[in-house]
Amino acid sequence: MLPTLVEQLANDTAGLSLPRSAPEVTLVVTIVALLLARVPAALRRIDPVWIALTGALVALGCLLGEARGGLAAIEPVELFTGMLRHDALGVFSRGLLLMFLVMMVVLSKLTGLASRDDGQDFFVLLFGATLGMCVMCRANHLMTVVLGIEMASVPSYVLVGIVKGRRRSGEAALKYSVYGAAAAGVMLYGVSLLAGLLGSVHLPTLGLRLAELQVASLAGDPSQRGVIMALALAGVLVLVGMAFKLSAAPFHFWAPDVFAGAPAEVGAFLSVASKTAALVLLLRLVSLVLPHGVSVDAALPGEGVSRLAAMSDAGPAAPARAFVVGLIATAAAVTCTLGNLAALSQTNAKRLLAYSTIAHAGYLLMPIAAAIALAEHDPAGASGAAAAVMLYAAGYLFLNFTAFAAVAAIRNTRGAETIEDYAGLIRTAPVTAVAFCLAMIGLLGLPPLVGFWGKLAALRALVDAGGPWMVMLLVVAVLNTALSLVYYLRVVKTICLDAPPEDAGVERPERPTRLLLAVGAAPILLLGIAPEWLARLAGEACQGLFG
Amino acid sequence: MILASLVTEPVGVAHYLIVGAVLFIAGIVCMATKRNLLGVLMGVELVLNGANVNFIAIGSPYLRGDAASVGLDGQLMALFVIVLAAAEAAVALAIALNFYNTVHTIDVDAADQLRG
Amino acid sequence: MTPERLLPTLLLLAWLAPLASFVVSAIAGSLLSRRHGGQEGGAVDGAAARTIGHVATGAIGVSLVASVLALGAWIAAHPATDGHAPAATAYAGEWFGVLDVGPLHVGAAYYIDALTVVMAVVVTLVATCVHVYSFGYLAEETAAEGLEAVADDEAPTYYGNKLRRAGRLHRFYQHLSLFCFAMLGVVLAGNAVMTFAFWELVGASSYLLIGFYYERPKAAAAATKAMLFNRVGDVGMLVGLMALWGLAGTFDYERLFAMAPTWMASHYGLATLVGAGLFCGCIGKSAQVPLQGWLPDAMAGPTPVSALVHSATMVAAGVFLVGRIYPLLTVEVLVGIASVGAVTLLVGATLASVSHDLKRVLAYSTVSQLGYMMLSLGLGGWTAGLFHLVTHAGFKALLFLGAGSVIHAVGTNDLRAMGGLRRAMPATAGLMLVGALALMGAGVPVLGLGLSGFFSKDAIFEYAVAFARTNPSYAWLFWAPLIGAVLTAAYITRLGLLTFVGQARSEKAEHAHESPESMLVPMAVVAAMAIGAGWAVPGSRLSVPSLLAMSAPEATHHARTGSAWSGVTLPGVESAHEVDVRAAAGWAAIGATLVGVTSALLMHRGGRKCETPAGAPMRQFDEHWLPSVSRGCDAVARRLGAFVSGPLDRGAIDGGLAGAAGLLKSTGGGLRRIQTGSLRQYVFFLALGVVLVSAASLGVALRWING
Repeated sequence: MLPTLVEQLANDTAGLSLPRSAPEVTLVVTIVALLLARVPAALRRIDPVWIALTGALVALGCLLGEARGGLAAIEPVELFTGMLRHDALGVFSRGLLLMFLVMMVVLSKLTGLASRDDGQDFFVLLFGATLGMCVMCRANHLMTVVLGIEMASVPSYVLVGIVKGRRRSGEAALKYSVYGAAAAGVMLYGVSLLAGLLGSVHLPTLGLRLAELQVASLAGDPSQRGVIMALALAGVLVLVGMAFKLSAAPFHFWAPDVFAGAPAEVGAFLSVASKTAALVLLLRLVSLVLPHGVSVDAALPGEGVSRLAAMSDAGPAAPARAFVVGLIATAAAVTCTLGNLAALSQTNAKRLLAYSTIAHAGYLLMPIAAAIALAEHDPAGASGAAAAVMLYAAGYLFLNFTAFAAVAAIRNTRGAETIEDYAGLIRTAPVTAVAFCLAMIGLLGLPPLVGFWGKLAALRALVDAGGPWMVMLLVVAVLNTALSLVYYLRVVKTICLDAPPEDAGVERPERPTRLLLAVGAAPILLLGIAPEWLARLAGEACQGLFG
Repeated sequence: MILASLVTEPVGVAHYLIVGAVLFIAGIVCMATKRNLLGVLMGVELVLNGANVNFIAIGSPYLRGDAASVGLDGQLMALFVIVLAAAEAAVALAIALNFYNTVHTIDVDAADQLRG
Repeated sequence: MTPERLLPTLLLLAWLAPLASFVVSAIAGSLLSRRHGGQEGGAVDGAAARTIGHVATGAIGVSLVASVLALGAWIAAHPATDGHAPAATAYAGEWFGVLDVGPLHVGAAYYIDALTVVMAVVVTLVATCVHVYSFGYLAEETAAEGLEAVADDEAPTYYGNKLRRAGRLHRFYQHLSLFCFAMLGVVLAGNAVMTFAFWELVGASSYLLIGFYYERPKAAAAATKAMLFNRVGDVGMLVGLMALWGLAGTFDYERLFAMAPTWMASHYGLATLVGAGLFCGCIGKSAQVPLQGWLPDAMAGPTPVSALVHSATMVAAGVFLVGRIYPLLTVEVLVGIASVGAVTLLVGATLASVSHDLKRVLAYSTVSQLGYMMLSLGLGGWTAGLFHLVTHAGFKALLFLGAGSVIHAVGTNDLRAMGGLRRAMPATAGLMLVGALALMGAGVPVLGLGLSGFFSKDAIFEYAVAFARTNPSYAWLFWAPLIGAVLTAAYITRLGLLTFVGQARSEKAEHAHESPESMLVPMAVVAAMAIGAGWAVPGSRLSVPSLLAMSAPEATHHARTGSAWSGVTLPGVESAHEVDVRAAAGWAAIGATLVGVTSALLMHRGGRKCETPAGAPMRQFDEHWLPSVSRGCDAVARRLGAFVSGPLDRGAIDGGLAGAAGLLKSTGGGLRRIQTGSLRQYVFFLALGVVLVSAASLGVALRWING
């Protein structure tokens, strides 16, 4: 019994799981190398950035090897006895994360955040957080969900406060860690309830159990009403944790302070990587736990898609799905409105970007709600909505990276972080200014920049889903985009039209920094003009997600 | 009332869940109200332990019967959560120390420079 | 080649030749003028300018030849009948498409029927004559070289000297070519959008031509006035176009004419709106009341311009358009058109009788004659109105060219300073006599002999009589043209008397001399047109009216009754051609003419007295009261504009937006305030959020369970 079990495990691990986890293994090896390289005197001379860069590039290479043959050819398979799920979405999202990791390593070296002496601390934390996010992206088990979230969050707490001696960083780290711990605790409690009610911790099995539970029929039995209420509570608590990670309202309070206190580079990391990972995790949760499957009433498709409120005969878990759609839709609407409104009167650049991040979290949640709604009768449409999320997230990666990198560069040259201090930047540091303005306009969602396509795909998913929730979201999204014009363009105007301060000396960043900014900004324009490639990748990544 | 019946019944999952809930709420209240930073961290631990109690309860075959329990997964999750809590506590204490080094107090309300 | 392919090709050639000339002269002009530097960009030397003029004249000559060939081809394909046969088919097609958006398809299309061909010939013939005439008239533009070649008395300068400027003959021919291109575009247009586009281009080139002496304030003001009055009319035209789109979904004339009966039956009101709207544009372009004010002022341009643009072609475009869209017009619209025409002809004739300015008299005469054309078209006389258009082009152009000749010789426009010029300028006097006789419609009724105006005026009167017989309550539409005929004869007699008869009343008049041949020959050519345009080609039934009748709309062949509330019936062709109607019309016309001539001779004592009875108050009306109406409208418009820009735009709209923005900003500020910076508060909100969301969800779940 035991030997066969061990043999099975060994086969599974060595033959199936490890080869498909090469990037993660590489990250682990790099972390160990970074830590150990401090020990021998000979190795101490090497700038840790090279180790980090090598490790990141190798990990990215391994991932691209996994994607060899195209995303569409990747068959979903469960790794590590059901802990992780290897499929196209996992590959795509980890590709985004690892590419971002490379960019982060370069950025933090160029802006001086990761100095020669204690750079390895920074890189270890960075790699650790990325490792956690990679686990989040492929989570298939409640444990890996929790583990991934924690593994991604805890190093981030430290990253926020990495700059020693600054009171604001310390304060931000404190707030982030306490708030994060609280939210993680709430989520964990919800996970425990969910596992207890449905009797499993494996996500697909949870889905099956939920379908079997026949929620609709339970409603008739008074003694089982408690089960339904407890299920609702468990779902809410789990979503609270996801909302924290995504900085969705009303669990966004950490974001403005953390972004304002943390260095700009860390802000980039938090706003892009952890958000992407959280989105993918949310997609996995809703696609696996809320079972779909075209129900018996195949006659319904055309109109049924628009009748979200009809919870009765549509499918076994339709009530649960409708409930989650309502939750996510409300959260999305409140989040993006709050983010945009509060950003209107911000003066600090990083805080502005924080609220912008909150607002974009709202926009990103909308197609997820649409996907859940569509999964009932139109799985292909639901996968399309998920692809919209990934397209938006991919574009968002470049946009926020460029924005925060520019903020970091300006901090180094002008030493200021308020928007007024950016006046006239176009004349003194043109490359930086142009990159920043491109990022602002791209975040706004104007064509022909990449942000437009993501937003368009998201809104189209809303239109496809139809129904009162979706219409409300559509209106909110459009109004908020209009609202966001104000603060994004105010920044652009300050940079381009205002006169620079008299004492602005030589302040062009070094050439490598400018090159990095250009590399970050170029895809904003290029992908905006020719988004088909990225859209196709995103579509292939999410194909089959909803069945 | 449910609670009344719980007093008379033999100890089952529900009892453990109640304890877990009490711990959870105590932890939340602690985090929300304590001014001492270490107290807040204790609240974090309480929350995580509340969840742990839940995990153990649902994972026990003795309390619910083999078919209904989550089995070893529950207990395994509890172990991992303990490790997680420890790691998180370590990090949080390091951050608290860093905070103390700059602000020279562990009063949470002293962290108010970042606002708006 | 079949007529189907030949006609469009010929007319395309005729259309594009002036465009080519415009492009060439524009490029050449700018290149040449750059050589000589200077404020305006330089001067083009006289020889080069004359060459440009020759090119332009050559181009319009080519157009003329092509148009005549097209006419010949048409006649060959459609033998002339006696005017009562069913309509000949028109050739319609498209040269190239421009816009193709959904159901909307717009392109350069043509619609060629007899009207098109005849108009093309008229336009190109008069244009060619004017091109030649201008060499003589505008000779001083090329008399000297350099930047100070031309002296202009009427333009103000600081020190009281005459303004000196470079000659710009080349520019004149550029504008003329552009105008010809645009006018031919209107004539050939096969869809309403093309008509509108070239309509506007005609207006623009007219602006350039009127404002040729742009240093003169009067000329500049007149050009602007012309443009504005036209634009006011075009607003209505746009409304009509929109209604047309809404009603029919197409702008193509061929399809519209085919569909017209259907939608006239179903959407009568909207069809009326279409007609009324499109007619508004014609009111502007053809100087009908109330938009007639621009035409007298437009005489500030050079006289050849007045001859071509403001008598024969541009102002005729409005009449042409009414004729073209005739199938789309309901009976009510037509009666409206006739009424407007009737009022216009009376107003024009009256004001022509009292004016002291030679060109102004002719301008008002044009207004009045255009009113005749509109009246005729409105009463169902399609052929008659357009026939009058053709004849009017001839004799009015002749009269203007003659007037130009007189002004060139005497140096002033004022009638009071002329007199007795027939001795000094016999050729001009003779030719103008021909023009005057044609205008008043001189001829012998019974024998059927007369000048061109005789036939066309008779035709109009036939329809007036027939209409008055059918609708006795609208009899004023007969009396108006009759009185107008009296006045017409009176004013043109007055003009002739004051200019050519009697004693010279000023120095200049005594020392006048005859004009050069380059001016007289075109006048003679146009005179031939004025004389013969009404006659049939000997030995056949081919004449302008019979030619036009081939394309008369279906609707004119028989009587048409309007809707119940107006109760108007338009007479058909047969009822207008009844023998007694013809006789009555003929006698009425000639009678009115004789009355007018006699009264003029008496009133002005054979050329000795300049003033007309009640002349002064009428001149007051013309020169002060009418402009004050415009000024009043301007003041109202300014008030309205101030209201819209002040309280409405700045106050309500901007204020509303600012208020909304302020609200959003304060909300944002409020949201900022909830971010207190206190960690305990954040965690409290977390807990609160969890509790609230849980409670809400539990509530939803409970409601779902129970409901």
